[in-house]
Amino acid sequence: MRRIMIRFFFTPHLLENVVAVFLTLIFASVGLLFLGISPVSVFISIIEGSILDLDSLSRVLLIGSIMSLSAFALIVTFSCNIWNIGIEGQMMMGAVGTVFIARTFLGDSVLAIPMEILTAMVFGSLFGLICGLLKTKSGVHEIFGGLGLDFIAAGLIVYLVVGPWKRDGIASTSGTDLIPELSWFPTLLEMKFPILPVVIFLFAYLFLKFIYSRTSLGLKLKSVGSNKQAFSRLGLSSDNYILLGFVIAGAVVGLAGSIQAAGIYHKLVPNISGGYGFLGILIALVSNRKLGVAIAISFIFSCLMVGGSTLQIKLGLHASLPGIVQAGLVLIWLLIKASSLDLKAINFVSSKLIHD
Amino acid sequence: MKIRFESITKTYGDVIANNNVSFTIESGSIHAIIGENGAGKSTLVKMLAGQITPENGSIYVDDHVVTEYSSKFSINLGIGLLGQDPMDFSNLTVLESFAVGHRGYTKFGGMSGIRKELNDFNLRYGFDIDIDRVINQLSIGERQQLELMRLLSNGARVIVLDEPNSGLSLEQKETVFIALKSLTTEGYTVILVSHKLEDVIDHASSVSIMRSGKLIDTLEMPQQPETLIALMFGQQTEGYNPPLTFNSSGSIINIENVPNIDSSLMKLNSEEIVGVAGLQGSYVDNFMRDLFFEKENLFVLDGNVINKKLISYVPADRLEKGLFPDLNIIEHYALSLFRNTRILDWRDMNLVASKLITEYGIKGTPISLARELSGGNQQRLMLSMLSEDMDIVLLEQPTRGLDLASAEFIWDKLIACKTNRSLTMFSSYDVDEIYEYSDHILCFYGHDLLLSCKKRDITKDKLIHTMSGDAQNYD
Repeated sequence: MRRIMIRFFFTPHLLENVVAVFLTLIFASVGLLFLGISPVSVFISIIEGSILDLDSLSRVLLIGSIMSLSAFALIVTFSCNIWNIGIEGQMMMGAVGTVFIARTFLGDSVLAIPMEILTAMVFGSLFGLICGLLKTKSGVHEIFGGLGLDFIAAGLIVYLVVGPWKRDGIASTSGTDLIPELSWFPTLLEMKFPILPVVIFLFAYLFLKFIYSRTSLGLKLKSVGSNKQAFSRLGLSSDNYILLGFVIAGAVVGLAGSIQAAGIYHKLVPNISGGYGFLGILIALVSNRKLGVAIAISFIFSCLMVGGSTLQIKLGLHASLPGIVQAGLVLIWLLIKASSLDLKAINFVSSKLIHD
Repeated sequence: MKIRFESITKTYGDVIANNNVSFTIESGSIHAIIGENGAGKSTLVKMLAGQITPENGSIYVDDHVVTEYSSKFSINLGIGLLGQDPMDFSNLTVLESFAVGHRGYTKFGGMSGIRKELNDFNLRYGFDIDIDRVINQLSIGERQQLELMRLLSNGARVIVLDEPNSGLSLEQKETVFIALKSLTTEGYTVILVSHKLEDVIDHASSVSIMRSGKLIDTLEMPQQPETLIALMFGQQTEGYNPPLTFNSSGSIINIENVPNIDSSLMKLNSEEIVGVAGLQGSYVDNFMRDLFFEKENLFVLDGNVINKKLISYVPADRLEKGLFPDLNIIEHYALSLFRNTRILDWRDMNLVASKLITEYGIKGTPISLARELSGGNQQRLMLSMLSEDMDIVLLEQPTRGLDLASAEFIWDKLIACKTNRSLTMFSSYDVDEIYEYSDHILCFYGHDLLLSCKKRDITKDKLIHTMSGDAQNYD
């Protein structure tokens, strides 16, 4: 059983990735030294500001869960060879679904949370389905369809916030009224530890891992992306499986929208997706479309975002530096992967070891 | 310019594309090189164009030996290759497209000179190309005329036409050939590579015939079509005894609702191998695909419509249309043989995969990706994906590009299974293959199904003439 668990979680590429992370940090440090900044103090302050402090750790987990979920959704659509740019819209619709339930009589009952999660998944997948139908039935490329639908979702939220769901007496873009506390995602005990988002993203991970490693469905999603013509030759409908890919991705990222609405803001605000959908595209690509690697990268990003905000206060660095570090790390990582520097390093070291 | 090929040999793996080929093309001639698909014509002209290097032998241009095989060297020698697809820029005007890469065009203009040159070409060769039109508004024929002008402008003295038939209307073709003829009087040499006899008979002044990589003969034109056909396809094995057919059930299979085809021609005995013949460019290219994908087509066995799920299609483009490049062999079986299993048992499938890999002699392991396999092994994989309950199998050029051993293996398998299936149908451009393995033969010329009969009722010679559109003359 233990061996199965190990096989399940660790890919043979783990060593490569560890080496690649190591190399990335070295290159980034050199870059920081050139700017006259001590890399050690930057990294220490990022770590201190993200995981060593309970408050920040909760934020890291929240943001990391959201990023993981959007990366998962994109890995699903990428496996069908689809560029699901509509991911932001699908996340927003998940948030809309969550707030919709919270505002009904269900919002003040024990049923609130399960219903919120369910509705968020349904709203997200329906919105994904629209994009899929535009592609398969009308031939609208998913990038254009998705982008259009992103704008529609954003517009719908603004309309809801200043229109039907506006606060009593005032219409402000700062958001709707707070939803009832029973419909907030619970935190662990008196701490702010976000137990539910973590459970949700772990469950999504296990579910997708199972689908892709053990089921015919996962294989079909992967094969329709590999060769549509060979897929239809086997008597399978490529359109149906592409639609299914959109539906699954929409449901997964709808969960992320639900976390935003019921776990962070506790209301509907414009731009509730926070750009995490687009960031998910980056994570999915950097992780080479591997679910487990995507989680690791999501949490690294999350640490950088949360911990990076303390750099300005602690080290007196310019506020734009965390962004530069984050982008620099991604760039260096991609360069290492593209030049297979990690593999070369492993081969070099192992040949030395064998020699001695 | 005079071109001489001397003892040219080129092999691809086990396939000998050119086997000790020697002949001379005289200056000022239109010299045709003809042969079946795979006879080695294209390999030869690709060497002349510097795209590939011969393993043995040399090419002489005006008695100077070619020392370097590169496109640049060949262009400098004055060889111009007029390919099947024009190399132009579809969003530019004729003038702009022509100016790109033109030696007279500089940053500071030179357009007026180029405009004059184009007008001169138009006048001299009777072309009628509007210089200010955008390329994508031109017909393919006009674009090929433009391409010809570009070659001439770059100093080509030998024009090579590689299968120029596609996309040219009859009228445009005439214009191109009239221009080519007038070029030869100015000392240019034209090489015409084709498997279309009519082009050769109408225009060539001499012809070299190739078969299976060898030069069969070089002749002065005119020649009788029969002579050329006999040389192209080799000695006919007349009086060949067709193997006995094993139609034990005596069932009849009808293919219904095929557009533009008389249904009486599609009445076939079940448990037979049906070969669909035709030249490249005829409907035989798409016939198998359309039979499989057109929803209206029905396969009816003794009055019962056969379930579409029991029909299988094996396309000629193995990696583009048949297999999943990024999936391994087990995953291919999971999608085909195990398509009704929801939860996959990898251990079980691994056993099946290992067994099939041995049985079909696939050089690979269960986790080899499809794109890592060679063509022959990809074809073996496609065959091994056909489950035994597949009732109808439609194969497109099942042995295209395969070495002899693989081709024979594939046929052994297909013949062994034929009595288990209601119908095994394959298409091929290779007359020998059609005649050797079919129980029943269909033959296309252009878009028309001209022939449907038992193999024992037709000679190979007649089949060849029907394929080439020469059936009337034959009788």
